[in-house]
Amino acid sequence: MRYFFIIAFLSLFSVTSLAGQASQAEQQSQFSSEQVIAFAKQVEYQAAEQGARAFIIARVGQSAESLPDGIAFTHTAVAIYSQLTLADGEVVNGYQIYNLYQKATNPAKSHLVNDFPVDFFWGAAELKAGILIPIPALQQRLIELVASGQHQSLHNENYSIIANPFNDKYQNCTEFTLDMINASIYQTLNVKQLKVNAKKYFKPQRVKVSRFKLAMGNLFVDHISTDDHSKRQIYTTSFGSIKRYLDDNDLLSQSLIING
Amino acid sequence: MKTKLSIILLAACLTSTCSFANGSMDNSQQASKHSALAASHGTKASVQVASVASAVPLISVGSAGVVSVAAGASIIDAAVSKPQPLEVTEITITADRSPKAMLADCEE
Repeated sequence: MRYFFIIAFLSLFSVTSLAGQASQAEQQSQFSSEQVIAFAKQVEYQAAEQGARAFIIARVGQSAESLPDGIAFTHTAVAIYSQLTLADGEVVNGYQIYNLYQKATNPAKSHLVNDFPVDFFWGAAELKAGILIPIPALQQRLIELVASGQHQSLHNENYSIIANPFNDKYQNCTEFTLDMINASIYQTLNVKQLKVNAKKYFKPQRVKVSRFKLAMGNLFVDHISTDDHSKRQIYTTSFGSIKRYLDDNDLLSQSLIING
Repeated sequence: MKTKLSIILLAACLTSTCSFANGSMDNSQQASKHSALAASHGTKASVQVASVASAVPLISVGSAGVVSVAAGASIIDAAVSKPQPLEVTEITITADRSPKAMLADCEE
């Protein structure tokens, strides 16, 4: 019995190095506020320089060494060029980011949060950003989706760090981003239809973690579920798989990796 | 002894979920973040931090540049094939804390 718990203990730490979409409410920044502010502005400026009105943005929430093969970023969302009215009435332009975040009070659930680049990169393990700028026509549709508020209907609050993008049992931040992209492409909010289309055209990222480790995570941790995966192998949505999806379908205008 | 060890390890397993928190966490509500950003405000001429009262997506309307969707402009896809550099404020915008957190600060 003792060995079971020892193995479970060790396995759980391994499971933490999955895609890393797990979230809690608070994380201390590993960088000074000035560094985060400067980096967040750098990302904004570079996106704006490319004329990006809507783009996919990703951050690294844990050390690169701890991430499984094929996973470079741990959180993905959509940034929209916006008119921002400040508390003092001044009107400026910048990017607002539309996120799915895990709830701190209930890790098996998520909620939608709009924030800004400095919030987005606060607590990042590296000052590194992944940027995917879709072609203008897709940007346009993403903006329409968000401006109408219809993206909210794509949200599934049941959270799993390794959610299967081909069904709607669970959802993580990156799958929500994919669903927003596909809702924009196909001009539908019908989740069943979006999943059928994803299964046909989207190639997800395989997560190479042993079934035992996953079983341990499934047993002890609320936000790791495997019952949405029918086969022995685990596949989930990643920043890289979204990049390949857009690229394969000629929907990617530019991709950037920005280092601070 | 074995039972004790098992209990300790199990407890460690369960509490280790706290360390899962570094992927896509919500940093917008953090009191520590707001304090740090507030401390940074004005430390350099280029560092200005402000919270936002409202945010509205902007969309291209051809050569006229951008216009607020909420301003009633029709959303058209013309002239977006050649993206132009966009203007971004130098001010660092941050999300406000939750209403609950804001009021909690006021309570003794």
